[in-house]
Amino acid sequence: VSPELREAVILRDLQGLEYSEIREVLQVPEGTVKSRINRGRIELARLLGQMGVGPQ
Amino acid sequence: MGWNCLNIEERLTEYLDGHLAGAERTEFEAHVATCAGCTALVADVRGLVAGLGRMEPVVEPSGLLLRILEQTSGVPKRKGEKSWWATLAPLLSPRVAIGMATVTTTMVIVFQAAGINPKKISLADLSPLEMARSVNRQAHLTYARGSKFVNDLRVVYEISSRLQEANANRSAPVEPERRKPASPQTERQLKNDLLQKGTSLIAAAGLAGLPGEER
Repeated sequence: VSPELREAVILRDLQGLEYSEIREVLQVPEGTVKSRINRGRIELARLLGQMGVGPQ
Repeated sequence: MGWNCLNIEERLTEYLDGHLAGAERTEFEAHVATCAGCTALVADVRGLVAGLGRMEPVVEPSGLLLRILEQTSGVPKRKGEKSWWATLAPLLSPRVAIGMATVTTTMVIVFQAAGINPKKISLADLSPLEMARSVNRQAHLTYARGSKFVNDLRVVYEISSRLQEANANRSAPVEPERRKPASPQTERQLKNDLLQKGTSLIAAAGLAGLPGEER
């Protein structure tokens, strides 16, 4: 997972920030924030699926 | 026009975070209900998000950064170079000792003002908000106690002056003119004295913080 997608997912799902807060932190438009979180989550879920780690 | 799998992938995060409403939400769910691939995707990502949310933050072991720096920068380990005494020595310098004493004194004063018993201290006691609230409460209690004291004194004084009056009327009914003008003077004097004492007591109580109040 690329660093941009990774940091977006970390901020959203581990740090629990809202989209608007992530937009402030990363200094990118909110649409970009949403799509990065989206792609990051999907890629991470696929990677975990490949590694044989199912949803907990 | 129904949604396809690409739409689902694009809007998945919004859906899971509850930002998809109305017709869009209906379309989303309608497609997922008919598509096995999308059902699996939604379940996977939902599980991932829930799992990430349950994760505990990792706390790095102390000294990790130093060990990494030592091993990556090629600086030889300095283990054993310094004795434990050499490490502790700076702590024994007068400046540190005075600093520690000051900190301890401050803590004692703050604890007393906040009504915290250092023997039964809990983490909640140490939060600044709790501390401020407690000091504030203590100040109000002290003030209330002080003003109650003054009021009590007033009652006592009232009673004693009534008794005095009664005694004076009984013992010296012959010369009331001479007693009367003297009376208000001493009365005021006594009242002022009492009030002054009361106020200084309040001030003293405020300074001392009056520990021992039930919290």
